[in-house]
Amino acid sequence: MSKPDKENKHTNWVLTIVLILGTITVFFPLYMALVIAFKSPSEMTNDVQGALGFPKHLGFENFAKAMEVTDFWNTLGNSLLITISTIVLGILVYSLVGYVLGRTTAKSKHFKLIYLYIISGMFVPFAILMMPLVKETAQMHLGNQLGVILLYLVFYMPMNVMLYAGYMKNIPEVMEEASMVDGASTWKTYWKVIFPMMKPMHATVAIMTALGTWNDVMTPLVIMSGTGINTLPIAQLNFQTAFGTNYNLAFASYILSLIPMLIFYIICQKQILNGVANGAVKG
Amino acid sequence: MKKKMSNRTKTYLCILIPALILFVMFNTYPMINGLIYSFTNYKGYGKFDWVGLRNYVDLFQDERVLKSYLFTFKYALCGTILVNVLSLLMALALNAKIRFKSALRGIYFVPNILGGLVIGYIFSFFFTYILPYIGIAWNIEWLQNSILASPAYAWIGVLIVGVWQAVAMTTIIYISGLQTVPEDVYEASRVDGASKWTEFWKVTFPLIIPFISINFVLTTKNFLMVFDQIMSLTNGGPAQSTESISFLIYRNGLDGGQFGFQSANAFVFFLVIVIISVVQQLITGKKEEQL
Amino acid sequence: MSEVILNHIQKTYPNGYQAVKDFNMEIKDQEFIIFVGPSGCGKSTTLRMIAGLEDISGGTLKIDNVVCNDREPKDRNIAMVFQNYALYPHMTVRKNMEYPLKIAKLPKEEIDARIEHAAKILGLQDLLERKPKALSGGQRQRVAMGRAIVRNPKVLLMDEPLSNLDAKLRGQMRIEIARLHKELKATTIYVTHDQTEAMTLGDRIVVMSNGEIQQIDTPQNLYERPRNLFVATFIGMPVMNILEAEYDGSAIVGQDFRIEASDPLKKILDQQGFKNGRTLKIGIRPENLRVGTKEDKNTLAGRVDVAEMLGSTTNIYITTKNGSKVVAALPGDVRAQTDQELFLVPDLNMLHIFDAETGLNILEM
Repeated sequence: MSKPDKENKHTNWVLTIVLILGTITVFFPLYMALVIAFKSPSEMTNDVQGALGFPKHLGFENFAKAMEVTDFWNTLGNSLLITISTIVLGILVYSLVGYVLGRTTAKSKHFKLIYLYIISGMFVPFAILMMPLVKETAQMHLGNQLGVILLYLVFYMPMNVMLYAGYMKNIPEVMEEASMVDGASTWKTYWKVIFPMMKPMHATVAIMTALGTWNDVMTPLVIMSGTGINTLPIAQLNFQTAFGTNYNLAFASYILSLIPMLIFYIICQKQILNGVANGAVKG
Repeated sequence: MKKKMSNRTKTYLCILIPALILFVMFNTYPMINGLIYSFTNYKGYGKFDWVGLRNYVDLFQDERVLKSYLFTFKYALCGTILVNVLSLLMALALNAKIRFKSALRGIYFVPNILGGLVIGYIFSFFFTYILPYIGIAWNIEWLQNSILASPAYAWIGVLIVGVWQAVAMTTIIYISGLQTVPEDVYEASRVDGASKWTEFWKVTFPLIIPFISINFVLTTKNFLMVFDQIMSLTNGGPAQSTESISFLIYRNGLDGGQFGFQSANAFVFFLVIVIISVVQQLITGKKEEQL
Repeated sequence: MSEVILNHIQKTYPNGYQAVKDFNMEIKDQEFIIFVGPSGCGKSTTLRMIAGLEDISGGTLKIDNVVCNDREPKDRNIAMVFQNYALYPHMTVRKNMEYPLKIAKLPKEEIDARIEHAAKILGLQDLLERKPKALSGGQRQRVAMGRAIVRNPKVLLMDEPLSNLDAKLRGQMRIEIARLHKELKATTIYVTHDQTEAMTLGDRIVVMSNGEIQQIDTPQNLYERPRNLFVATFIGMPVMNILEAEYDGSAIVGQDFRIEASDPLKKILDQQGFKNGRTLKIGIRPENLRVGTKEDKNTLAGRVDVAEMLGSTTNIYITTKNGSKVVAALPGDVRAQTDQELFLVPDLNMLHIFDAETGLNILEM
């Protein structure tokens, strides 16, 4: 084991400073958006100062108006409903399917076939399913949040099932044997023994799903178009004309739509970075 | 004597069947449906006729479709290269001996979690107003017109936004990859007297090839399917110069009465993605072998 | 009554491999039975068939007079201690032990009482609220046993439970297990590859090799009257000395020795037709050799290679004139120098004679 003798003594300050300066590329667009959101139209003169200068006073009127125009709380509610439902249902369904396939694909050709069938779904881009799904969901009266949730469940199934099935390698079969001998049925063994042991993967799947569904535009756009039900991204799209040339209002709305995810990110940053790295590398 | 296995197998099947039904209903069935429609001239409503392969033939002659493929390929190629080069550099930097490592990594990942649509709107304003303002203030001619208004250069605007957002994810993957290289390998290389440049190419690079291949496949796929930013930055314009394939399928397929035709487009698109992914995997597979 | 009867039990895998061939045994109520043998001999497979974790390819298994071939493990009233303990990592010790009892829907008071009792017997009282990862190997072992005994099973199965512990701990746990068995009064079937565990714990031992039963007997009998070469060399440490020999009508003659056959022995040998040059193998345990002199009859002579001084005994390894290796386990005060010439005298009452072809002990036929 090599001792970390040089670890902390050789901080590369040049690089550190370069990186800190580089964060401007991340902060600048957000700063700009924030600043504009707080200003009033009169402050928006046609020059750099008008656009980037600090607002005269931090009024929240734009935000209040934006919430009204875009029906913010309802839209937020829809986004939350869809994302959280997808995550909860997803974890339940994907872990079950991943468990079954994780245990059977090695031993049975039939199950392996089912596994490959589901995994192949990963290569199907939404564009190809988009149009027929619009018709299908309309026919089945699923042109609403439920339809979106079901579609997400199916769309994210291949990747997550692969993750869970792969994770089963970390859970020895002896767990099920001990539970069987203790008298539990397969179903009970799953919920009492296996499911709790999959916790790290649940976190990864939750995060990947949250990131994927929260900002998604295509699916809700296509499935719920015309119904007036909006998610946060869709609201931005649909109310562009309502904003007109009032950029301050528009930007206030944009900022509002970015806040929930930013809050979530700040709180769970570490888990998110770990989860994403996990999910991407194993997938 | 096989009864015991059956009990467990029964439970397994009970679990799989509902999931499979969902999958067939919302994945396989629509796909087949789409395929069937692609052989018709369905407008999205009303009656339609069977037209066989005519849609597919027309695809290769439709200017707008060809233009969208050109744009999308151009976009994906440049995007993939830019993103991967930048992310690799970023990953090396963020993995080096710097201070505030986790804070910096955290900050640089933010672009990825923000919605593509809204980011598009924000950058749209930036391109349309801010840059020209700066151009006027500092007297830089070519900045004075919004890049998004130019049919020739609008794609660069879209590219900048796409890269801005994509670098984050790729960087994280590269960081993971760099972390799999054991510390002693670097120590050995230092003892052997290698310069940083040699060290990178002879030591680091070969060991992270699997991650490079993952990233190439993922970035290419994501860039090929670009949609959100197009919606908000350019809406496909100016003069349809930034219509991505997904965008066109959506626009004309659902709003433009070209259901059947765009279904064919969608299928070709699907094949293109599969072929490109497979080819990429093969190439990097060979590279891995060579090393 | 918790009898376990195995009738022509066999296990063949889909690829044709026969792990267990024709296993027959009647295990009496409350017996402590050991399955012992080298890796791959089929002992664990047989245990798992009794548990219900492997399908039985052929034959009948009866527990308590009920045919159990197709019964789920939970319906066989058995409990099992796994080699790697298989503790549920996300549950505390208490919850691990409660798990089977809750499934059986026992009332809370009963569950608590049983856990108390088991914890007391196994010394787990202070560990009840800990999770497995906070426990040492020996403690996990005991929790695994606790989880098994709280169920008051009819049959207790143990699959190499001590093999992951260090030698000292293994010694201590052996005594615990023996004590537990007396308390529990459950029929116990215990699998191990360690013959010391087998000999010290078992009422009867099943020695297995290559999927076949070699001998079922008490430890004493296995030691004194092994049925064949395999059992003879498997049981006993250091391993029994085996030397090739022939019978010339009056004596057993090997390369380095000549032992006069007694009359009863001559009778047996003649009866089984060993006179005409059929090779024999004689076996003599190291502890049945003593140091003699050149003048003694029936000696085995050789030069000392190594002398292992273990304190109470000294193991002396010699090589005979013709290159055979012989081990003698002698009293601890015996000293020997390398290359010293030694004359070993076997105790003729403890001589074993095997048919070189079949490996069978001709004195036990």
